[in-house]
Amino acid sequence: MLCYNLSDARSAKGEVGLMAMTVTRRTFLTAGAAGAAATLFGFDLRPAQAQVRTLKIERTTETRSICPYCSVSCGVIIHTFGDRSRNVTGSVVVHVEGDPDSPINRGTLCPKGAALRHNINSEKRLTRVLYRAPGSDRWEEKSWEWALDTIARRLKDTRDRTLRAQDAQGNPCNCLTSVGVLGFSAHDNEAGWLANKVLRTAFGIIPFETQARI
Amino acid sequence: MAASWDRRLQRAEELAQRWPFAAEPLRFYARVVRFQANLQGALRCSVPILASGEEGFALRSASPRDHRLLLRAKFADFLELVGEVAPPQLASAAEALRSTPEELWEALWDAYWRGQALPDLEVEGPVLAFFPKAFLQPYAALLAAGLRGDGETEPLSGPGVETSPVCPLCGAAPQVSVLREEGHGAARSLLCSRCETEWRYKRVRCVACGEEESRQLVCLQATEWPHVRVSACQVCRRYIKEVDLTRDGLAVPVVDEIAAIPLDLAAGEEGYEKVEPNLIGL
Repeated sequence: MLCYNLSDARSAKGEVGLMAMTVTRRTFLTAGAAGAAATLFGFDLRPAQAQVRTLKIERTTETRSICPYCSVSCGVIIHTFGDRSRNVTGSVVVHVEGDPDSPINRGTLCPKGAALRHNINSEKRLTRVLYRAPGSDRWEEKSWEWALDTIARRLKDTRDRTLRAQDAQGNPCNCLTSVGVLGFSAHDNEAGWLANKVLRTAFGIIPFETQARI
Repeated sequence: MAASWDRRLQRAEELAQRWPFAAEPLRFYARVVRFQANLQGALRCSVPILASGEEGFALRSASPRDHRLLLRAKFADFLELVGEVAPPQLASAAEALRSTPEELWEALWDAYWRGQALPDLEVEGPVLAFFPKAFLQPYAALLAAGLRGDGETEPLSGPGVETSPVCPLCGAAPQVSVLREEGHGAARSLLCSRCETEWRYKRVRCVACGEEESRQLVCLQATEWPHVRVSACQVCRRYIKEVDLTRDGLAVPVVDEIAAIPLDLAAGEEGYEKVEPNLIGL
């Protein structure tokens, strides 16, 4: 297999793309007398245009992501059907495949990863905040704001109550061993740096486990 | 890897029967392919094997001018063929070129070969561009095959290749995007519109402007063609057609790309422009 360094190729990107072959919709179609169309070459497009009117065009997008399951952190491509504009309902994941461009898995997936679409579309998937109070036998739905405020309050209270500022010899250590952090497979370098900076350096949390390898 | 000439002819005939709306363009394309196959056969013993490892576009170290005597005679034959079998506008352009001095033919080939603006030959640009492209494809493919070595058909890869919007060997734009099974997914490669070299390309990336934000990249697909789709970019409003060989292993990308004409029309209606027109001018 030949391999080429493309520094020159990239610099010539514009040159090739702008040559006289560039065709706009206006130039490659010519309107006929009755609204019929032909290509600039003269091919009759009316039969194809009739076909277009019967087509149901589906719009899909492909999004690169990371399998959420294990520490291998395989790359996946998620196919979404429908308008994937933010906050638009009605889009649905129709296919998940291994990402052939991922250096980790080169398109391969384990059975769990290959079945990822069913996890995403499962009716049992948790998509909102549920809270069960101590001693309660019921889940209550809460807002994200409530959840974040509650977590922050409890983290602060626990730290204030259990932080070990010094070790047995009186050396400063600022250890918080009553709170732990669990990472996840899509935890990348930047998220890892941020987690260490905030949770370990600022809060002093020692138990820190993440399966991330990316 | 580009399909053999015979396979292209066979597929063009199959699709012409299956999709009557594409029959006329496909039968014209088949005539062009027959000419290309014969031309490549005639050139096979005359075209040198280029040295590999050169910087930039290695194919440009050769030029159609190097084989002008052979190519001039063949170009005259090609113009005659197009004059006979092409639709009216293309046929009249062929007639106009037949009366053009042969030195200008070489200027036309040379400009196309180097990716420069084509000379003013009183033929509309997109129509004029058909001639050097269709005529020089077999010549370029022969040079590229010689450069890569006998039997080497894997898509090119290497530093910078997977993000290159132009062919690593000759600098031309891609004609069609191809998906082939890899692992539990499909790897993407682009097929050069000039020398038919394939090079690996990232799956989620615009082939024109390099946009990688997935929300900006849309695929338009119709149930009638489950293996062909339009891969479009909402940033630069350009598109390329993509042939998925994991859905139809019998498809021939350059031929199926031509046959799915309604997808081009649908993309045009949505305001997208094609990265590179094919041999029927769409």
